[in-house]
Amino acid sequence: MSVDSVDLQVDLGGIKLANPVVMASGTFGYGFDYEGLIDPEMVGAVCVKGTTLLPRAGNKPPRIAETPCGMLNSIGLENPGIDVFVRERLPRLRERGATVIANIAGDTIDEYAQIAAVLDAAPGVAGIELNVSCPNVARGGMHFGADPASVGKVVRAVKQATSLPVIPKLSPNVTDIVAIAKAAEDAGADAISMINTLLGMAIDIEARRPALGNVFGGLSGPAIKPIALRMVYQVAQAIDLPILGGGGIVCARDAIEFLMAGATAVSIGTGTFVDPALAMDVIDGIRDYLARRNLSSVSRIVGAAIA
Amino acid sequence: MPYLEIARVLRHDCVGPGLHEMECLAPRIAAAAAPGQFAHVNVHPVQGVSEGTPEERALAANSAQPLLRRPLSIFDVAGRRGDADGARITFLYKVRGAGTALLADVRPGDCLNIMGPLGSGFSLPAPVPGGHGDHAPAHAGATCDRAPHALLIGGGVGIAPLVYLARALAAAGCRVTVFYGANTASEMQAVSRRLLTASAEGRIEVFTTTLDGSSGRTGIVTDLLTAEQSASALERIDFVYTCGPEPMMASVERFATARGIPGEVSLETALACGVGACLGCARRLKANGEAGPVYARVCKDGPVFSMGQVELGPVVDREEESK
Repeated sequence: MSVDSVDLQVDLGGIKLANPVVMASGTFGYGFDYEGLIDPEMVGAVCVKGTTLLPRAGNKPPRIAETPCGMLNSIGLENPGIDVFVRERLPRLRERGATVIANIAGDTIDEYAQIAAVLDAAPGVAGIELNVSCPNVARGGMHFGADPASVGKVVRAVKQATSLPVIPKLSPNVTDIVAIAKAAEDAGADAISMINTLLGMAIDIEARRPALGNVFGGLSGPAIKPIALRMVYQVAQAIDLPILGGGGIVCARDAIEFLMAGATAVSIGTGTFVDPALAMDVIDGIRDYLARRNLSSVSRIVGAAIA
Repeated sequence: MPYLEIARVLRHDCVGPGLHEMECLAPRIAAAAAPGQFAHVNVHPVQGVSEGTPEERALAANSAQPLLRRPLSIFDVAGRRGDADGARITFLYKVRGAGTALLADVRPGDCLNIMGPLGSGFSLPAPVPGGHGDHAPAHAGATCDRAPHALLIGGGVGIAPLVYLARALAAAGCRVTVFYGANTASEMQAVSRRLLTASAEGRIEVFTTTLDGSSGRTGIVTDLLTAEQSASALERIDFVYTCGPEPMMASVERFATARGIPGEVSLETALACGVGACLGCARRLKANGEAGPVYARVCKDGPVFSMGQVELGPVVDREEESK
């Protein structure tokens, strides 16, 4: 089969993606930092930087530390707030025809709903990813994501505030991620995004203190891929929602593994730092893989590894 | 806009203890690079196109250890226009950790994946009114403007971006004075080769210090700010540029501020994305905003900042490098 006849389109909970590759929130800014290398309209969707109701300054530096086959970050949700996002960042993405998934975080359930209501009225947003899993902020974030009932409440509140597809992004820093995913499904989520970073730390042995200003940070990169893959595989068997799966993808092979584990689309994050053109290589690599095996569409391999 | 180039390494020499000079064929990056900008370099050489089947290559992962690119400041560019060999970019870097140690093993003929040019570079000073002397009124007239006098102060491998700057300033007709400090003379060969040629043409005046006295004045580079031998070079400075250890840059900033001379500092820090997307290289600005602290991105808003804009601290040894 020729590569041109392979159908790469997927449906992520009502969001139509031209291909299954999504830029992960926090690694691709508002879509234009890599302009000329990867443009926002070239990928399936862009999950933009996490946005809160009010501006946030972010955490004290140092905010990153390199670790074996990975990195830690403790950015702390630095962002200009939802109003600036809608007014100054969104229009340019819309003009370019990018599929935009807004990523939102709140300190309270009401804040999530307020931000969602603003986005509901803003043209150019295809869906909302709920950050209930940020390990780097004192309130909200991961604290919501660790408890099935809380995740359910956030999802319900946001669903009431918007008609856009709602995609909670799950934390791996929990005892049973399947229970959280089920709670999100029961509450009406349209898809599941997973996984966020794993809580970790590093110590600077010369300075005798934590390498990060915030002490703890989120681990990402190839080091976490086996864990992310296992979690996607588990959740895919337990729920009926499409999954946006990722964690440590640095090549097309990794992405295909996530698809076979049950992800409908894959997210690329830290891999972009390593290779800024990675997303394009992954799109091409998936297409080639399918064409060589006479598989007409991505859906043919989604969940293929599940017995 | 950054470019991504598969750059062939043309030359890669050890030019002092732990110091390496690497020249790469990177026409688009070299043609666009301004002094003070940097390139983000994947230290793992690119695999040859003959290795593996097309599918294996399409699926293959990059080496993941160490994971992140290394930012290297641009030491020089050559062959900018109409050069049959294409434009080249040169880096001067010091081995400081696993990343730069791997890079030092890269051989001429190998290819590296390089992104650049990145960051905001140095600003070039405008012509200075006042051709009649120190006390000429500001409205003395454009016809008798004198060439600006720039003072560049580099410590250790922090000299790297200042060499490209010195050459650019001299080419723009500025009077250029360089203060360069290192531990020992054997660290200075790569810089000397480039600056002394220009110095011989009378465009750039260079003063050096070494800790062991093997070249120039014995001591640290900021000693030259008060030394008699460099007193004449400190007259009528219009702009100060500095790059090196932060305590050194803090001294330079105090010197410039006391004299009311504007200037710029170039910071180094660990980077992840290098393009402003991840906010990992945040540096706190001195001025607060409504919501408290305000952070700038070293990779995008910097690495060059105006003097007084950021708090310069003691150097935190980050194990892993940059410039």
